[in-house]
Amino acid sequence: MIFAGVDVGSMSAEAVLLDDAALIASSIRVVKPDPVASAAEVLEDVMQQSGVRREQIACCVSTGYGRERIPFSQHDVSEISCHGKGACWANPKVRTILDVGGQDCKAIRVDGRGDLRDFVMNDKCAAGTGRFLEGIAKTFGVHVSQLGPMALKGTDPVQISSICTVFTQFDVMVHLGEGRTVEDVALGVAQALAARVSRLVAKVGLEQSVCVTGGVAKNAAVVRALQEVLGVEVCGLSVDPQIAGALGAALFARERWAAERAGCTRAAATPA
Amino acid sequence: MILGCDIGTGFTKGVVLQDGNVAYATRVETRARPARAMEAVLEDIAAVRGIGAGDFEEIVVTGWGQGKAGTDCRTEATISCLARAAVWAEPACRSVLCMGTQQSVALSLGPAGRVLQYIANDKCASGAGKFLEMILEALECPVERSAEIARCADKKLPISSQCAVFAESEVVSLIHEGESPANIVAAILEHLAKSLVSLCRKVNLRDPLLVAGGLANNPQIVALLEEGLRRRVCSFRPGPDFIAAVGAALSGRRGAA
Amino acid sequence: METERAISRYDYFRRVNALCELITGALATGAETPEALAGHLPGLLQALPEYHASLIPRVYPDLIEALLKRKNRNAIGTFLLAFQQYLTDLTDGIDRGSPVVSNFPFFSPEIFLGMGLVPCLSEAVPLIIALALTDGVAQELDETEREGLPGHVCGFQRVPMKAIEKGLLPKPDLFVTNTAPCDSSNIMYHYISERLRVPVVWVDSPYYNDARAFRYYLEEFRRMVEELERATGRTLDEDRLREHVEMGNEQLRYLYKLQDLRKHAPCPDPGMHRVLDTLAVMMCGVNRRMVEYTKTCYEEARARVERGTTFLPEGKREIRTLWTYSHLPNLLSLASWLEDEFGSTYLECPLSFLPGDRVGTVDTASVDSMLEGLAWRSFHFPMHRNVMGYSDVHVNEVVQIARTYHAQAALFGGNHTCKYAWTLPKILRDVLEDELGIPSLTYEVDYMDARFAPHASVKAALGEFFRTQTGSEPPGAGPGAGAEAAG
Repeated sequence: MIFAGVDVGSMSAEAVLLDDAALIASSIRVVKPDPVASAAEVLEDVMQQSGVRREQIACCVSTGYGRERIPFSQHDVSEISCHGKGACWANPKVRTILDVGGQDCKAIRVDGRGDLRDFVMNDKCAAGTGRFLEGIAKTFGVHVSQLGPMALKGTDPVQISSICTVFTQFDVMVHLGEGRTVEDVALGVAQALAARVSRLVAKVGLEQSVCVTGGVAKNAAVVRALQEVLGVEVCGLSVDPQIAGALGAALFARERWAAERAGCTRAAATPA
Repeated sequence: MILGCDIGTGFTKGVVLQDGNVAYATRVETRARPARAMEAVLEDIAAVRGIGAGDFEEIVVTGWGQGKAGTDCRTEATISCLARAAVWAEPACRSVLCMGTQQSVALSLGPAGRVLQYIANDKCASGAGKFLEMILEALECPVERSAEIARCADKKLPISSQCAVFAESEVVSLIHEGESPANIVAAILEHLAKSLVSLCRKVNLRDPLLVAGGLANNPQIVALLEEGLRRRVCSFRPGPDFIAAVGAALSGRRGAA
Repeated sequence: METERAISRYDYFRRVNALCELITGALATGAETPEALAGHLPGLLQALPEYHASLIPRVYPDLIEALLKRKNRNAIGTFLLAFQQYLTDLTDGIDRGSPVVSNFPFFSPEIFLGMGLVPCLSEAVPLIIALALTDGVAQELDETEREGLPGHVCGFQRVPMKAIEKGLLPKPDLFVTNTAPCDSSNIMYHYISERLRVPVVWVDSPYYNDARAFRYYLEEFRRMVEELERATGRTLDEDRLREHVEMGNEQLRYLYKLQDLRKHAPCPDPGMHRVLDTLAVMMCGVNRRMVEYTKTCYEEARARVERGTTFLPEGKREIRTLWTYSHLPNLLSLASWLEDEFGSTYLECPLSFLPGDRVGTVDTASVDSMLEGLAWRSFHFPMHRNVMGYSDVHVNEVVQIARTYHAQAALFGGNHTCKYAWTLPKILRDVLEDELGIPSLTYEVDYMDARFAPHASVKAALGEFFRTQTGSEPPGAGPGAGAEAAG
């Protein structure tokens, strides 16, 4: 049976197709202003990749921004649950997930089945989110994907003292003006981001294993800094960390479909 | 003749004070390079007025970059400069709101301009000029025209984020939803003014209130402040941007005794 | 098999004891600067265990520099001797098997000592570590946060709880606390009691501070003693109680005189030791050396007044500063720096001040009179009297001090977790401004966690404030105004 999951975020949209338990296609796209259009586009990608047609999809779950507006999904589930579910499937040892997205960051605790136990989110402040890195990348005049490799080459990280992303961009300019290398600045930035995110973990408690999802998980310097500050190893996932949400949505699609087939009413075992 | 310089996070302002009057004022972008900006100010004064650095009795520097000016000069606390200049411009002044690029600060003064309380927003960019700059850039609207454009607004739009960065995203969504630039600019100016009013309320606000800093050039901001604080305000003259630079120059005179 | 003695078994005691020995030894060399001290260091360390050497790189360098100064050394030195004596007596008591009680410091320990109980100030011991060592108690703080305790719950309760769990401090037989409006301690003592499985004796603090309220509180105080007697099997011994109460009285007599001396201009009492004064009040009557400490501070101040000398740098104009919250313990050199840089003298702070004319001393005639006197003192203790009634009680006290001490500036450097206190700074600064034209600065710190407000940023904020004060004299003000140009 084919199941689909679609995740529309603030900066990117993803889709995943599962054939029973196997991942058969995934796609990541830059998000459009209209979430429905984004969802359709990224779902089209995975259908093309796999040759699967719309009618063959037994169940589709949408998550993320505007999830309840997606006309072709049968259910919508919160991105928190989806990230938890997806990460745990991609590495069954995972119990704590740090989801660092475009505009918010979350610390999520799950049990062995990937079901949500606890979570905390920061969506009030851009520090500790992908927007922070975007701003810095713009100041450097590079693509955000280059920040990680740059930072890994840093040897003497700058101290980022400002809390606000806007001020930090300015501090970065000052550091560059005073002759600090871009590598050292990128490293300082990665460490500052990790420090912000790690404070969130404290609120839900850390249970091993820990993984990172969301676009920022691709910044190896941030991941390394997180390991240093949390004092634990961040484990890898068998999938691209950015698709964890869509993957979780597809897994929920499978669960919901099975439940409906069995005819039993699950009383909110999977929170919406 | 004294040169007072205010090296701010956005702009560096230089004021030439002669016999207690502003003889010349200039402004350059700091671009995170305080020493360079200082040089640019001196170059401008030399080019336009033929006055060299050595011609000044004293050069006094204040603002964010005061420790990094790279010239032979004295430094003064920024808050001091604001108070001194406020009282020079408006002898009865009892409160000051200075709206800078990254930091806005509200002061309450005692008689003779003694600084009694001051609060700055130094943690968060909302309530600072940079916030407005970022949003207007997203709207492709020049800063000088923002008040004029805002006046054409015909709808109140809510901006829910406190955070400047998220507010920028909200603005982008509003643009995609087809909202008019006028409505959006008006909403942002209101958002900004709200932060500033809040800041003012944290000090023991008394009349007359003098507003200064770049944002004081924006008539819509001034109008919104007056509405929010329920009082008339006066603007620093000769130019709101130059308040701290004037204050720095004024402090030079005392040392000369 | 010999059990290790309490002074070394509990790592917090071990650390504080070693710090006391290190600093006392450093002071004894007579060195007045860190450079001079460096020369003595090898000799100093030879006489001390290796453990002490391990602490040296972790001590705040600015703390060493400040405490070696002539103006500060005796106060700091005598306090540490008193605290070390307290630790020795405390750990001897533990070794002897006496019951251990830990209290929120809303009253002084004479009662416990009179009952032969060991008064373990679990909240104060970590403070000494936080004020001396750069890493302070960060580990325990971080561990509690990782477990889910928010960072805005006061470190004064989070740290002892964690320290006790980890065996860094002894687990007491009882906690004693009151119900004065300190959100953090009120919640935490419930939680700590459950988590550590240690009973708590609650003393109910009344809302008002009038005669009826005191009668109620006295009953509560007496009930506390009865509960302690029942729980520990120890009874109040009149002679032992009197011995400590008399010491406490003597200590306070010096304190009241010292408080009066601070009204002189320039203020003759340096500010570095004031947070230690707070501890001294909370440990009033604990031992003879604490009396010596207060006496030393008093005599040095009196000598300055009599000789007309000052510890302020030559030509530095005094800025009489009222601290409307309290010191910053993890930057103990702050007041000393402010004196040297800006002539800012530390007048008083609500946490170290005890209103002598109201509190007086305890009548030692009988157990009853002593209990009543101690309850009366507790009623007026810091953090107790300040939270009674409407805010007018505290605000009026601050204004009164500002007026009688001729304060010229006010600093509110509040511990951010002290929620009750943070209702006040705007009221305080507006009142001080309106009634006395006094300028104020408000800033946030964390007493136990130096990372919250880095020292450089605190000094920058205070530096800006004082530079503004020295710079805002109108032109042509008297000869004394010239001093700030050097600043």
